[in-house]
Amino acid sequence: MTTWEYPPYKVGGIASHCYDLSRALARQGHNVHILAYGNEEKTENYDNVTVHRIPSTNAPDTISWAMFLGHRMEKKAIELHKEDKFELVHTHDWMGVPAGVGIKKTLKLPLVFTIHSTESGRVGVHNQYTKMINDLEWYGTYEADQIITVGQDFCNEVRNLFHPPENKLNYIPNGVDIKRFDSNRYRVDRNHFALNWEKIVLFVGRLTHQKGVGHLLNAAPHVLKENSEAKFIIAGTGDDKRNYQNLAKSLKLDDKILFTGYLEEKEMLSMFKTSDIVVAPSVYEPFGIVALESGAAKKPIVGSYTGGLKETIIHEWSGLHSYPADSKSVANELNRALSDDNWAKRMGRQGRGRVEKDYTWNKITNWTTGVYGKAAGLWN
Amino acid sequence: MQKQVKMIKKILILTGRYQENETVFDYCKNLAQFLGNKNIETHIICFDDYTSDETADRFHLHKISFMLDGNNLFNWTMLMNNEIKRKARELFESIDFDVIHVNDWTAAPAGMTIAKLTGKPLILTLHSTEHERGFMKETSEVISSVEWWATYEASHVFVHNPRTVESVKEHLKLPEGKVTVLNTKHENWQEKIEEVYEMVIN
Repeated sequence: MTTWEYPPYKVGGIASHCYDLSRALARQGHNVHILAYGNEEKTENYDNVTVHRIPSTNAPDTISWAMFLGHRMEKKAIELHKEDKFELVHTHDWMGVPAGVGIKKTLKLPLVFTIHSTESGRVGVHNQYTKMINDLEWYGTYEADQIITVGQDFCNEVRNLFHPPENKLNYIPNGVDIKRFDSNRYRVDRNHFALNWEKIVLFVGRLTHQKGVGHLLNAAPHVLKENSEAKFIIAGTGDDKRNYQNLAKSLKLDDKILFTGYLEEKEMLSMFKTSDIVVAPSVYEPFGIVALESGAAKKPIVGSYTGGLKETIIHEWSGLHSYPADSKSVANELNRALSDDNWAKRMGRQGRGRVEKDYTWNKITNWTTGVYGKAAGLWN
Repeated sequence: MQKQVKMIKKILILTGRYQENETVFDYCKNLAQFLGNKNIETHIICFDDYTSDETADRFHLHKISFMLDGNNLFNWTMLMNNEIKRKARELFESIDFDVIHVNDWTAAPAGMTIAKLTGKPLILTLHSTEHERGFMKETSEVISSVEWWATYEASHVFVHNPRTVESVKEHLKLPEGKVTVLNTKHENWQEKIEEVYEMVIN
C-alpha cells in the first residue's frame, strides 16, 4: 500500500484510513507492507503491518515532491518484491498516484486506487497547478484496475469528473476503530478548555475553506445569544488559521473560541469524549470521518447536508443536518441540540450504535478485499 | 581456472528525447547503428512526440506515447517515464539484455527502476548537467537530485566534455574513476563505450 501520510505523519483523514485498513487486513491474515513518507529511511512494524519510511527531497512544490517520493517508493517496492512477491498495489489519492502507477507498470501488478477527495471539490481547478493535480487524479482512475470512492455522492462526483468505466467504480465508506476511543486512557484537563458551566462545541479538522470554519465562526454569535454556555474549541491547523483567528477577534469572540492547534491522537480522542457536541460545517466533504468519530465517542454531531455527511448522519437520530455554507443554519441546529441535553445525549448514544453496526473496519476490509479480488481478476 | 569473459550480446538504450538534429538523437542513433553492425541486438525506447518519422536501421526502435501535459517538464517527465518502464519490462520478458544504457535525467527514473528490477548494470550518459544548464528553473534542485541518484546508481557514467566532468565531480559528487569523457566528434568513441559495457558485465 502506498500513501504519503501514515501516522504519525498526518494531515487529513488518509493517514487514519490507511492505518486502520492495514491493521484490519493484517488481522485477516494478509501480508501488508506500507510505503509511506518518513524523514529517514527505516522499517517499522506495528500489529503485523510493516511500514517502510521513505524520504523525498527538496522540491519547489508538493507535486514535484510527490513525484520524487513516488520514484523512491517504487525502487523500495522492487527490492521488497524480490523477497516477498506482491500480488497487488493499493494507492491513495493523487499524491500516491506516481508511486502506485510506477509500481503497477514495473512489477506488472493490479492497481487499486482509493480516491478520498478531488482537487475540483477541495479548491477548484483554476490554474496549471490545480489542473495538474486534477490530471493526476484522472490518471489514477485511468490506470487503476479498480477504483474505490469513499462516499455515495462522492462516487457520482468521480463518475462525472473522470468518466471511468462503470465496472471499475466502487463505493466503500470509511470506518472507525471504536476500540481506539474506548481504550484511550489519556484525559485532557477540561479546565484548560472551558469553564465548569460551559458546554464544549468541538470542531476537528483542517482549518480551510473546505471545512467551513468561517461559517462556524459566523454562526457562533447567534449560538451564544441563545446558549451563552457554549464554548467553541477549534482543533486542528491549516493554511487559513490566521484568517480564522482574526475573524474570531473581529467578532469579539476571543473568550468563547479557543484554537488548540494540532492535537496528538490521544489528546484528540480524549477531546471528543470531553466535548458535548461535535460540529462539521463542511462546504465539501467526500466522506467526513468526523461523523463516525463523534459516534464512537457517543457525541451528537451537527454536520452539513453534503457529500458523505448526508449518509453518515441520520437527521434527528444520530445528529442534525445543517445547510452547507449557511451560518444561520449551523447556528439554528447547534441551538436545537444545545437546548435539549437529554435529546443530545440520546443522539450521541444512537450514533455510537450506528457506528458499531455499519462502520467497523472488519466489515470495510471485507468489502475492500472483494475489490482486490476484482482487480486481480479472481472473480472474472 | 581462467574466468570466462562474457561478451556483449544485447543492449537496451533509453532516452526521453529522440528528435532529429539533436545531440542526443545523433548519439543514440550512431551508437545503436554501431552496435547493430557488430551484430549486438540493440533496442532504443524513446518518447514519441510525433515530430519525427525516424525508423530504425540495424536496431529496434520503440516509440512510446504519453497523453498528459504536465504543469512543468519535471512532473511530466516523471510520469512519462512510467511508459518507458512498462515497455522496458515487456521487452525484458523475452530479451535478456546485458546492459541498460540511459541518457540524461529525462529517462533516468526508468533506467534506475528497470536496472533494479532486472539486476542488470546501468550505464548513464549525461549530455549536460542541470548546473551546466544554469540551474535556472524552479525544479532545478529536484532535477539535480535525479541526476545525483542516477550517477550514484549507474555502474559507469559518460559525459561529452571535460567541463561536464568537473560538474559531475563538483555538483554530483561522482568519484573520478566512475566517469569517462567521450567526445562523439572523435573517432572510436563507440568502441570506448563497448569497452565499458564489457567491463561492467564482467
